Amino acid sequence: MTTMFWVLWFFIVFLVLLVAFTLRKENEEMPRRDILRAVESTGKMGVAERSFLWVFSWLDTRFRLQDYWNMSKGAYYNMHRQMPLTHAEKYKLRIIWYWYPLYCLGGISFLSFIILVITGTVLGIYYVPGGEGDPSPAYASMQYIMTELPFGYILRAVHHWTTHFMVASVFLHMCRVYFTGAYRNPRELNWLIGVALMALTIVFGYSGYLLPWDSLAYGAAIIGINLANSSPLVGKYIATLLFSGSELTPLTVTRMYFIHVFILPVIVTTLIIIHLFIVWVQGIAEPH
Amino acid sequence: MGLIDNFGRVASLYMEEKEQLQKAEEKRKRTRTGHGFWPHEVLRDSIIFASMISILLFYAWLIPPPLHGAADPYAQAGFVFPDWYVLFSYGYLRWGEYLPQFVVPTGFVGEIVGQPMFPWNAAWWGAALTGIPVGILALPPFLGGREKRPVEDPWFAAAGAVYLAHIWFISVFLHQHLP
Repeated sequence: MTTMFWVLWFFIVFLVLLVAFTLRKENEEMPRRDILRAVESTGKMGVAERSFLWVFSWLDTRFRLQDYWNMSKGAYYNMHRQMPLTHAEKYKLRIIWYWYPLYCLGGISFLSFIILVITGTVLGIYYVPGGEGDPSPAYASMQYIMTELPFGYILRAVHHWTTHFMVASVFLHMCRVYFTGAYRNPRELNWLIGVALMALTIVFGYSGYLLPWDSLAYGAAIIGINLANSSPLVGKYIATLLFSGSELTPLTVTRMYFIHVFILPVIVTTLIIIHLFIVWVQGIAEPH
Repeated sequence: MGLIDNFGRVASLYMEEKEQLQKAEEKRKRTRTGHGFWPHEVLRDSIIFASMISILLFYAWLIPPPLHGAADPYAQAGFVFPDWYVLFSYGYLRWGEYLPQFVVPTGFVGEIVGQPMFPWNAAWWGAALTGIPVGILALPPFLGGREKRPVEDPWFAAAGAVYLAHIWFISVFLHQHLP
């Protein structure tokens, strides 16, 4: 206890000294204080703005943010000037009432994804991805989560139901985009990314379906591996890639776990960031 | 001059031409007169998200997530019914059992990969037919046209409705009527 106490305090003192020396050096070389005073004199600023300004200028004096800031500002305004005006902009519509509630479906998918990441991370602490033995470690850990782990049951229930919410909202989001014609010029690329995201969402659901390694998961795995094996010429290679063998083995559940918690999250998170960035740059296609 | 240099020259020529064309449009600035993110969208999203989370927790509270008996490779295959979002694929798979099945010789490529005969069975019917509705989803952007609402473009809306009806037929109606 006392050791930890002193270590902690030495660490804090060390950090304070580090910051103090950094600030001292900066005061010698950069006229940061003058810039701050000039900015603050332009108008009244609240605590949030003042803190932001302090952090921003602190970073700017170290990383010379001014270049990146000007570059991104230029890019942002240039891209916006090149985008075609939406119908609402062209005709100065103030109120858009039809279709409007359906514009939250992409947001619901994103929210579901975040809930799934959080609950899935906690479930992953207790889940054991092994198919060897009877019952397999995977199934035994599922029983532990469902019966013994505090809040484990409700955690898995939230993970399970959020999956259904996410797939449903992705489907409905796609329907909304199709029926409002929002996939058309200039948003073709984002539609294609969305198609990939929908397919990956289904693969997410399927791979997660296999993880409990109960009788239902085993039956679904048999169907899946039959489909993979049935492809002409490359069938057994696809099956080996996805199910770690052209027949079901205890390794299948380990492979599905790796796909479910590493490969798919990396791809899907990247695609979601690109998808949202494109929406931010191009603006939302308003209905008309 | 390498290929990359040529690309750079073409790109800078393109930019010069484009900037000249755009000078005529200098005055056209993007103005935001549609609905705003604050407060309209934030209000709408907060209400809908809160309702969604409350429904979600209600479900999680009332309906337990399923956990059946442990997987047993030696047990007789039980009744398997997949989640609703892959029912369409399962529907094609079951439909494939009633479609003609034959064997296709794969020639010398098949000899190389070790599959001289390719059986066109129910599983491959299912996989191939699943690829059709998923592949069709990539087509709409290439069919062109500006954005329109369904009233202005009834053919696209009708195509979408037919697509959804077909998915519904394959994933629900078919399972009710197959033996």
